[in-house]
Amino acid sequence: MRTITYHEPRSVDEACQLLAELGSEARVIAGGQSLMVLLKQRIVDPGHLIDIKRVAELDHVRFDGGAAHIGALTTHRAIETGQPIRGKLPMLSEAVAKLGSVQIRNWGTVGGNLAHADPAGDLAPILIALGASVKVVSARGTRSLPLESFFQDFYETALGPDELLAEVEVPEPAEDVRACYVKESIRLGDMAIVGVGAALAIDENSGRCTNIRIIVGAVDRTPVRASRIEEALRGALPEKKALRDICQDGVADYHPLPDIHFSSDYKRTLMAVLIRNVLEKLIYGAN
Amino acid sequence: MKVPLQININGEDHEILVDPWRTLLEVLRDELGLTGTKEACNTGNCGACTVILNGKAVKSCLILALQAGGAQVTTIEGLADEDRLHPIQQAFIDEFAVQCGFCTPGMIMSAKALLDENPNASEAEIRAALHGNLCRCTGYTKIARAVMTARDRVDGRT
Repeated sequence: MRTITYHEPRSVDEACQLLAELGSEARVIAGGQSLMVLLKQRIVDPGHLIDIKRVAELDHVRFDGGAAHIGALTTHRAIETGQPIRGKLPMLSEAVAKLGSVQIRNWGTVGGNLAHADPAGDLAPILIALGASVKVVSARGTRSLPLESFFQDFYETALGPDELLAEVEVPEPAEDVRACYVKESIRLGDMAIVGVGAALAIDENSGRCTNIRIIVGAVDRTPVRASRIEEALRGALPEKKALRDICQDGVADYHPLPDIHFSSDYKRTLMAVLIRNVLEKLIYGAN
Repeated sequence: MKVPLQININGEDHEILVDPWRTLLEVLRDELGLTGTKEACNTGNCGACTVILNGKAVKSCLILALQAGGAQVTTIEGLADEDRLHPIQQAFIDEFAVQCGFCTPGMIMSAKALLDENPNASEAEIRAALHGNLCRCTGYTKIARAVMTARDRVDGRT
């Protein structure tokens, strides 16, 4: 007989108290669009379920101090269609529109997606490219860390057993920043075979590429940087013709994890193609 | 331990006791006998279990029943006005948008949520709203046409 004790905190403090008492006996559920499948299959079978979906203070989008503060319970749909986020972070709205289906985006949350830490998650690459950080709370206090170091392994994050992901902070991009997320999937809205989020700026006077970040999802245990490609382009005046070689050379050291459909070689090739597509779009405006 | 759940389905209030891990789909079908909402993949991929929760289309197989506590839920059973089918249901019949019929309740609920929010949805918007609903029979052309027909009828354009 299955027993799960259900808790429904109404505030962050109450949720943190429960986590402090129950620790790893408990699982936090937000929209549950990933967790529900694991619960049904008993891959996850906690003694306690802490349902935070009604913690109203975690459902917000605020702009202040030059950054968007996105509460963990903000739905994907709110990021996709809501103002002011569509106006100020259009690349994030466009990226989120590629996640799942309307039904999933109506109920699934940003915090849940990140805390689930699926290596193929669609939000992490674009958020890391934009320099996002996460605010983590517990009864012990609050800490912030870069989203890039939040992911530790397959479905593993830096969250301690008593901690809750409360907010994602995304710096408002400077005017010259261009960013986007592309993914390849079998059908629209499926999990990414490979996903690439990238952000860069082109210096108005010199035409040189600056502040470039390229993050690749679904190829390793956590999202990874395409560091060699970043280095090849940083401060460079990249020629369109050269991009193909830069991208091909830049992925040579990666050994993407294969899955039941796609080999490592296929994914490496796809990685190079998608990175090139993203860079062409961002640098030359090509589709 | 079972937990009390208060929920309004198709305008009717219900209060039942549910196990915390039960999905909204299980409660609709197994506890309340509303079997119009279909279970197929049970992993959030196929959309056959789509219902409207507080105005939004959601996949009831991926929602904890207790999270729908206090909510207004509309299922396929809640659309017809006694013997008069909802315009979207009628359009599915008129456009032959049904073959085996298993995906139909989910398709219609997704379409309803869309047209409630955006009565003038374009074909592209209709197809985007339905892409979380899989149909293995029709190839989607007639389904999209049915939703457009319903849109035009409701809108008074035909």
